[in-house]
Amino acid sequence: MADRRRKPDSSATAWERLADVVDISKNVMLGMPLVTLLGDRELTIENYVGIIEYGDEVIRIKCKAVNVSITGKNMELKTMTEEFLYITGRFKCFSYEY
Amino acid sequence: MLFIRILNYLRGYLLITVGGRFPERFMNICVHRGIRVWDVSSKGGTFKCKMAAEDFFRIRDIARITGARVRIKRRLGLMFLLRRYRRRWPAVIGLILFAAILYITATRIMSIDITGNERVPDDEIRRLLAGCGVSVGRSTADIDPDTVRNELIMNSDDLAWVGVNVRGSRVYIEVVERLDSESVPHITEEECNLVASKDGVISRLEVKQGQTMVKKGDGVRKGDVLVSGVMDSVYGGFRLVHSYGEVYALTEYSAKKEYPLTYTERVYTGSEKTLYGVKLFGREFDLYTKAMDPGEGYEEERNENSVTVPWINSEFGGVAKRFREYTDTQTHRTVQEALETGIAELTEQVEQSVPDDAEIISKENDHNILSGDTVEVKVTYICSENIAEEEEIDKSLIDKNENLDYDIEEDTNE
Repeated sequence: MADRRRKPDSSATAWERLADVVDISKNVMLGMPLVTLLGDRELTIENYVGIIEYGDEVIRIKCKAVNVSITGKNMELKTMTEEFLYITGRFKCFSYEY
Repeated sequence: MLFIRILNYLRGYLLITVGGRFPERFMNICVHRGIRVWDVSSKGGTFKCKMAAEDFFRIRDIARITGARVRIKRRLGLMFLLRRYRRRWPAVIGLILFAAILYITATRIMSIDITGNERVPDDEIRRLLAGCGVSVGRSTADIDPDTVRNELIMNSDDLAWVGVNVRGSRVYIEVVERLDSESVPHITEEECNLVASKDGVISRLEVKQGQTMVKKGDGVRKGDVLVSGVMDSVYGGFRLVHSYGEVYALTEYSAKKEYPLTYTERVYTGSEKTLYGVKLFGREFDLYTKAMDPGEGYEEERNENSVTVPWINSEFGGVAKRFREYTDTQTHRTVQEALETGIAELTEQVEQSVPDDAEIISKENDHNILSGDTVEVKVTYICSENIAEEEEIDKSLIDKNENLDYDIEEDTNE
């Protein structure tokens, strides 16, 4: 398996195109996190690898393709399972890191 | 979520703090090894989180690898709660006892209330109830009210209706007794009318069966039909019934007598004489010579003992004559005195004529002066009494061709 990470400005990778063709969900195929945000209060991330940093103001999560960084206040990891993370708090910023 | 929380509570969980250089690593490894961690919060580089109690022994390795310092802050959940109260086992026994008592008192008969009985004693009904499985301490679930009711009515001659209500652990028995057949006077078992036994004015009617022919306030003569045993039917025709009931009427008992103001009073002087005679062949022979003349100051009282000899058809015997001397004196009395004497005499007379079961409503004395020297005194008692009397229906008067709806009667009784 080649490096599935891609440059932010590059167009769709071969894997992405293949996923389109065989119609398999991309988050599995490309290792992309499936992020569900409910306003600035609740966040669910599926398909993650682990936590890089955890504090009540910054949380960084390692995913297969990209890393996710959330900043905010009073953040709390409500649930941690192998499949998903459930985070509550007041979010300020949601960004991807490469 | 709520379900998961309840499950966690039941299984017991720990509140732990994770310190060290990289608590995040500790978390990651926990998650990858399938150890559930939730409610993670961070404060100054130290994590606070919850985990299942049974997983705690599996994090020893992880803690060593990551160099994390794990401390148990609190033990939560039912398991730890029970462990804490392990020494208070009497409380558990009390709890079980409480539940048991609650169960027993809620499902067993605690009391039986019997209402509505006057003649039949409570104990008798309780005995009958025990016979069909209803007694204090028995299960309420076993009671079938219909069966109990039927059993009771069948086993007792005096119960006409029984209601069985089970409310919680109490059983309420309502009974209606059969009409006391002894209290209703029956001269006949046949169909009959009720007729008036006396003259009177109807004051109260208690008709239990039959067609009422009079109403309150009616005046009736002796022999009038009060309640007819011939009942009209709504289906046409009529049927015969044994009418019974009580008909109360105001009846009058009175006595009247004239009292003269001037009257002769006979006073016996006390001197008396007894003379004897014999009777031979039906003829009387005095055995004394000087006869006292009765009528003129003497009163004669004959006392005769004689037998008739059959073959010669003649009387033989003795006669004793008692002569009592008296003097008649003309006495005068006032109206007031005559009244007092009259009322006293007549009241006694009236009271004797009033039957025992009649209730005296009012007493009246009346008088008027006749022709100057005579007072007429009248004493009247108004009584209330049952004047109903049974009388057989004269069936010869009933037209046999008219339809007697006996068949319909059975329908209507249902």
